[in-house]
Amino acid sequence: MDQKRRDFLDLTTTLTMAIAGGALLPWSAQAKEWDGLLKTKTYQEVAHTLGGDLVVESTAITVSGPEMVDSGYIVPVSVESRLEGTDLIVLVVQKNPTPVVGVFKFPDGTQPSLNTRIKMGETSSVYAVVRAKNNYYVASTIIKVRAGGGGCG
Amino acid sequence: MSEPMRIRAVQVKDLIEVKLMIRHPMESGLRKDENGKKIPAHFIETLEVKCNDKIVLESYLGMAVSENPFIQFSFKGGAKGDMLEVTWKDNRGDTRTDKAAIT
Repeated sequence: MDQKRRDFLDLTTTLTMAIAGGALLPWSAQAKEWDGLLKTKTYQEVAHTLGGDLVVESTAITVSGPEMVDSGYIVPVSVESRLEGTDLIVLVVQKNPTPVVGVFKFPDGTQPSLNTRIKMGETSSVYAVVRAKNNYYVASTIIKVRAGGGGCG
Repeated sequence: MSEPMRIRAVQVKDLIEVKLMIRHPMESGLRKDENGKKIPAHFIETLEVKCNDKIVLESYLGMAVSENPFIQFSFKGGAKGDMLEVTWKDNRGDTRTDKAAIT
């Protein structure tokens, strides 16, 4: 399939979903990118979907959370990138049905770090994919889950 | 009708530290109720934070963000009294905007 046709099909899917959801909003290209990300299963695919190639492991990124949680329904996680020029972080829970949990864009002036709370279906690696100066980096941690957060997505 | 968010934005030296607590069920669409009926998906998809009309955080959230999402981050370039404006949109097309001044 050539690229133009694929773009067109992607757009059709996005529009169909938007109309079905009763929400035709002008998110343009970004919504399409986001739809693509939701289908990715690994951090490498996340980088590829965003137009990146190689993903390099980096010690300048910290992903942290509790070592073990009783319930996966509310798991606090923190991400911090010390890589200069970081403008995007994607949180990925490898074993969730939809691994991509969130995409965060950091304009100039915003610190590339974030705390949030996520749902985890089972014990899993949690990756932070970081884009800095158009290169892609990754770091991870493992969070053990005794009981999954029901329907964690 | 959605409930107001809790927005806390505090100046610490040259940084504005922001804590957001949003009231939203964040249903993934994968859970079932006690009768075995699927609970329909209902989750926030986009979240945008502006300070004086300049975007300071833009995010796309999936259904694996916990119920009543919590997000903490910080940025430079704000000052006490500046207005922070937070807007979310969910998969049903509902949207909400709340504002708070930096303290």
